[in-house]
Amino acid sequence: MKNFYVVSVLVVSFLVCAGKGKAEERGEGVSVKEFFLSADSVKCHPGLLNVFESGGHYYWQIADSLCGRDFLVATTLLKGAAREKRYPDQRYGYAGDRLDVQLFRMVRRDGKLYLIQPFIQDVVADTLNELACIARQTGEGCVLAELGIEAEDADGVLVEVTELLEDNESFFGLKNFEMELGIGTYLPESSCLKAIRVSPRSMTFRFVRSYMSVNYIPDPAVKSEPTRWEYGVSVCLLPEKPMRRRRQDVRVGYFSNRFREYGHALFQPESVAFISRWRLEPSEKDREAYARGELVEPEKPIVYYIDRHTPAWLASYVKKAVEAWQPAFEQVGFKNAIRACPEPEPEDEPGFSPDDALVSYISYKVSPFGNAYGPSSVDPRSGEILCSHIGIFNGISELVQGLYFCQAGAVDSLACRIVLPDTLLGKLIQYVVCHEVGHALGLKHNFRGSSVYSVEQLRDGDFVRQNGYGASIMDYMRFNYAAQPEDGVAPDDLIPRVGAYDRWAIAWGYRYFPEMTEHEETEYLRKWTDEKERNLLYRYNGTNNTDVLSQSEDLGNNQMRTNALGIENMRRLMELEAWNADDEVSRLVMGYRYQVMLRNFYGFMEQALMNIRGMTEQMNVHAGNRKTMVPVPKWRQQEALAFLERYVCTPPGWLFRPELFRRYKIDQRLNVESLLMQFVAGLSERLRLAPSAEYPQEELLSDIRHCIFREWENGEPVSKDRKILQRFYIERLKQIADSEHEDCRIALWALGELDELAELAERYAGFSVGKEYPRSVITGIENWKRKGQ
Amino acid sequence: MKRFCLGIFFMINAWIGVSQSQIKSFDEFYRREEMTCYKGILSVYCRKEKIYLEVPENLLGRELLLTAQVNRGGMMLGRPLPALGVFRFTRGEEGKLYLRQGKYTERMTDRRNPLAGVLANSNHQPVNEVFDVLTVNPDNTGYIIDITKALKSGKGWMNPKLEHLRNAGPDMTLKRVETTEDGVAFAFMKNYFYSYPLEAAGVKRQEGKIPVELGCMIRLLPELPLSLKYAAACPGYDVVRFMEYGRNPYGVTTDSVIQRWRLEIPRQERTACWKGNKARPLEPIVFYIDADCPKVWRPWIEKAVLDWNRAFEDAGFREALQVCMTGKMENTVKYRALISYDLSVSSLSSEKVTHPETGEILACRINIGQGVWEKQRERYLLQWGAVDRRILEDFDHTEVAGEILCSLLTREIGRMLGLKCAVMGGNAYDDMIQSVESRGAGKVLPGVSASDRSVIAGGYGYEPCRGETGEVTVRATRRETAKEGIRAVEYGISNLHTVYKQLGEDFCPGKSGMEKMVWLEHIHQTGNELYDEYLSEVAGYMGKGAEREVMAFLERYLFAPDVRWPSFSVLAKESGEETECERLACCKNVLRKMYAPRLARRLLQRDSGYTLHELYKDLHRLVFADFEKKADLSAFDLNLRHSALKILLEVAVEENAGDCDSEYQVCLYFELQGLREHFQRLAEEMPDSLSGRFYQFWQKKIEKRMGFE
Repeated sequence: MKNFYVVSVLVVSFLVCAGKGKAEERGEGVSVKEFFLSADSVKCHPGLLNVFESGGHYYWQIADSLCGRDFLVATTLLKGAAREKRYPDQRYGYAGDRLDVQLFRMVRRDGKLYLIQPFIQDVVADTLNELACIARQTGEGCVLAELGIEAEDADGVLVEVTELLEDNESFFGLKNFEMELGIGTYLPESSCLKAIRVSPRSMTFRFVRSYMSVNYIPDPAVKSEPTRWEYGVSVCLLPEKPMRRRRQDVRVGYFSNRFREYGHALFQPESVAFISRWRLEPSEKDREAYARGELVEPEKPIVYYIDRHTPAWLASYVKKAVEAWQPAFEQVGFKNAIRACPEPEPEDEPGFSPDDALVSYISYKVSPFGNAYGPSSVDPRSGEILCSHIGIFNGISELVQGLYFCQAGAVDSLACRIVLPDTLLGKLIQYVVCHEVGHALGLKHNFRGSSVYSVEQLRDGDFVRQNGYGASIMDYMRFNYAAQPEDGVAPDDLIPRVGAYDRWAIAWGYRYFPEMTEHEETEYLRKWTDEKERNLLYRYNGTNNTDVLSQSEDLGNNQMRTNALGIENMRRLMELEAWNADDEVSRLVMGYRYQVMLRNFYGFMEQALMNIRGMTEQMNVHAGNRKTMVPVPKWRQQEALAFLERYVCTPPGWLFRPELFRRYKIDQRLNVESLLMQFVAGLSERLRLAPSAEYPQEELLSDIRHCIFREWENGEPVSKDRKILQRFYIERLKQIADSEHEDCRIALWALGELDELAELAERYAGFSVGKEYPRSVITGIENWKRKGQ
Repeated sequence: MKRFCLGIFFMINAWIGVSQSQIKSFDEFYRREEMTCYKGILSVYCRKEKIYLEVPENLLGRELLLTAQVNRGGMMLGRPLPALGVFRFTRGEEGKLYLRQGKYTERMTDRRNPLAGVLANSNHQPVNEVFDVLTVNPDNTGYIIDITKALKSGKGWMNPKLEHLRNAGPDMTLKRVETTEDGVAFAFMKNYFYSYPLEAAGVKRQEGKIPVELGCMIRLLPELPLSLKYAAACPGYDVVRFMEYGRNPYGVTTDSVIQRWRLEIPRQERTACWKGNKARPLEPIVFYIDADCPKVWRPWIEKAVLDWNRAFEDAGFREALQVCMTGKMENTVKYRALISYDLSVSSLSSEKVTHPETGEILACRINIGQGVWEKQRERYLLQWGAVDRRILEDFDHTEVAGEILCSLLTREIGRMLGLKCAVMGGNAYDDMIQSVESRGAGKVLPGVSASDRSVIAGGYGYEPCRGETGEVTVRATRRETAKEGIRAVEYGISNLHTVYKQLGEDFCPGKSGMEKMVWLEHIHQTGNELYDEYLSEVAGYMGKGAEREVMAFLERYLFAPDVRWPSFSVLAKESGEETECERLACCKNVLRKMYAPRLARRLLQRDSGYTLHELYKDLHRLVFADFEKKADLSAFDLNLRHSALKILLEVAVEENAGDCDSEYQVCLYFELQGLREHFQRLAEEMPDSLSGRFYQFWQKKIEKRMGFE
């Protein structure tokens, strides 16, 4: 029996080895034709690569010329999964979503074909520098897959990719997008490869796959469930010669890609960043015309396809949103540089598909998410934007109609209609899409853009018609709420549009300089920026919200004045009859609008608060144009305090109407008590900041005292709301006096202010309006002092 | 059917059992195809991925050393890896080989001591691993064992775990084997998961695999152990500690031997050496520089190594340290001392392998990271820019950078020679200088000092350690005396001001406009750190005999209202840079030292000289301006007082000052009581001012925390 066993093992081993040997031999000398000779059926998809299907196995035939070349892989959802619970702010999981792109390179080595992710951003090649030599030892890239060569002929090597296609962890699976999609365990039994499409420029694999859902926000009420997704993975070849890179200047807001240059490094590799931008170049025949300053069409214009499921009334506005950037490109010398067209119908253009890696697409999604997004995918070698998928959630309609009503309703009566006409809603969404297209062109947010004009300019119809009311659509600049009904500002001028900064930023990023070297170009652009940034219109400040002039959703160079005008507009709106309308649609719409009004009011308060002990950026021409943060001037801080006294410390009963809270079932966290609490909390945060010499803390505290305790000073009765405000303030002062600060005087000042208030309360108790309240305040302060120290 | 299956099962088991216990003939083992043999003192046989080691009969019981490193890849070079260390093979039961690693933490040096046997009985040495002998070599002089798993599993002899790369799998691929005169070296390729750190907008990073070459060396150690040198006799060294049972008749003592390299004088030269001649050691310490190390730094690295030879000359050796270059793409694990340039190390790092019994240093690795330049060049500029124009003229001056590297590396090599870090710190620094004439450019940085030399002589000297006779003195402080130290720091501050002036006015290396400002800000931050260090150093001289000088210094450079704080006029003028925050931070550090219980106790123990009472009095003057009535104290003055009081009160609470059991507690108690009285008076005198409120606040706080009525 022992002999039998040994013999059996040997026979099996021999067979295994023989089989293996045969397999190993296959790659050498076996042609592709021979390889498939014995197969029952073979289907070939010729194109970028020849893709073969045979007996449930898949093969790629890769030409020698493609080895060493870089490929882009893009994953696009074609059908999102149905979910038991979809979170209102869920960004991904809808048809048309372009999940991030990836990159790989095919490398043939040691009789195998490797798919690697190249280390493109470490610039180590073509140099004898020794640091580069060490860096080079890390290799060309990390290996993503290793494929055995099955056969070879003049058309290239044949590798089997069945496992690669089936592997959920490869770039053909959704493993990389688990977080975005809320999925976990892969269910291969109910998954399949549905279709393969190969064209000369790309190949696309369409999968239907199932996954168990994962709830990334712990919620015991939501159970894991199977989800089913249809998606396409498209692979396309990147150009052999990357586009020329443009070096980043932090004073112009572009998304960027960082590189480590080892080429000349002696101490450390130089870290440089290059911006993301589309490749816009004149065609060979137009180069001279371009150089002469004539308008020419770029060789490869930016083309967006609009999701065929976008409502028909909206599609034209989406198109306008894209093409609103055309004038900016015309300044650079390119006409028809950017355009949008409807997604072709399958019967018109069967080859078109949004999952093609190089297709730029604007998809429309049904979701309560009041947002839109505009990412772009870049070639990391050069920063070239290769494609972009912009998403519009239909929830954005609600947001923009609510904001437009609140901010522009007093000027544009159309805004007060319960159902806005498509012509108006289209324009409102157009502005949002236009902002997202800006991102897709490489531009970052510029929250400085809305604070360049004065109130007078914002209210001047002619000025606004000519210049718009902000420098950048890349700000979160909403509608022109400074304009008053009597100003004659046209409704179209109440909506943001591409501004002076945007046009200049596009010129900075896209002007074509074939005659300059990269270094010359960088120098030229640096000087251009030096010159431009002296003008506030062209200033970029990202989302630096420590600067009072870079606040989200603010308007004008003096928020107190613009916000006061905004409040006047809101006051007018509160007189509308529509608040009393009883039909269901009116209730729903007006309920939402009321919430927007309340939130808007909170926002105005926060913006004014930021001015107290606030900082703003100042450019110092004597110090190399260095921008430094300087304190907001005293007059402006006092103006902010006056604004807050007028609109917050005196609770606005015209807005905070209990019957409307009841009628629309508004969250009580938005009521007047919360407003006061939030105001005092914000104020106390400002009091913890270092005081400026110009506006000493004692003076500020005294100004606040006059605001909040004016009844005490004048011997007047205090309303219920004001008592709440006063008590909140005293409690906050105690907290400040109790806590440790960088500057010990902060606590001492608070302590002194409490003494002042106790003294004031003592005097107030002498008036005949009521003694209990001031006595209780004094006792509270005394008890706290006894207990706390 | 069931019986049949059981029968098959038992037969398979029996067959496996028989095959395991049987030793094959060498021919049976060797005749298999693809077997490669690497002959050497430790021969190795390889067949595909299997690795077999031949352990010669005569080496059973002999000590071997296993070290490992990353040879190259992942931006690393010569990076040490945790490995088995010292071990030996012994004959085990049933014809097996045991791998054993000795435990030496409990010892009985005098083996004749009657308790030696008792100790041995309770210190049964472990068997770490058991190996089947697969076959014996044709001469019947060596046992062949399979070491594949031990080497390649990642859990046995070497641990290939790396900080910044994730292990991609358990197995490694053997790349090459190389036998050397004292052992055998292996090179493996291993894949690690790597996520590319740079990200392009909109492109997802995917984790992939990268190959890294690992090296591993098994080396035969000398038969005779290195003689022990006790730390008590040779101060200034890293040590191997152990419990000694033989010395104290009633118990145990803790002892330690120093860590040092084996440097032996050839027998024929010993007599000459006794007479004072210097001899070349039998086996010098050779530091290999990795061939991938940038050429520009090599001379400096070489200098850093060879500078130590002077110290060894005092110990009776010439050319004790040598430098060689490795070959390109060599398996550098075979070198005992290796210096490599490693792009993924943030600064300088080093590691040594020592014998757990004798303290003999068996191998070391020094990795030079790029980060070494960043801070050090800035510090050099601020410390020496006033006397060395080269760095002022060219911040990227390679010679200066080389000198900095040389100085840092000298220190690191000292550590690798066994010297204690603290001792190195003490000896390697030198006085600040105000003019370069006394030394010449390039000589300002610390190198091997006289004190280092005497430490080396003590530890490595062939003659009995001179330290035993009390000749060796190790200076543990930076300066000879506190006064000298203060003088040196004063020079340092003066240099700092000079550099600030020059940088602010007319110089900024290759930078202009906004870039210059940003760079200056960065330098200013380093300057503040340096200033803080200087002041802390001087504050550290308290309790060391120069207290009055220290207090005068601190008054002049920190507490006086008109202190000249280093600041760039261009920054201060244009953007209103304020230095009070930095000054206050410095004050806090100094005050912590002044109020430290350790200093107070030290002063209290003294019979004469500066007393604790005087210290408190000086602080009253410097911090509280002798409790002068001043209603409009500045923000700085208030915050300084606040910080001092906070520190003092924290100390008082921690030390339970209220108990008044010790002299120190009493002093603290009365100090706070005195402060409270001053504050009460001041608060009453200025009730409406911020200062008055401050004093009132602290008066109440002290009363509450100390329970004063």
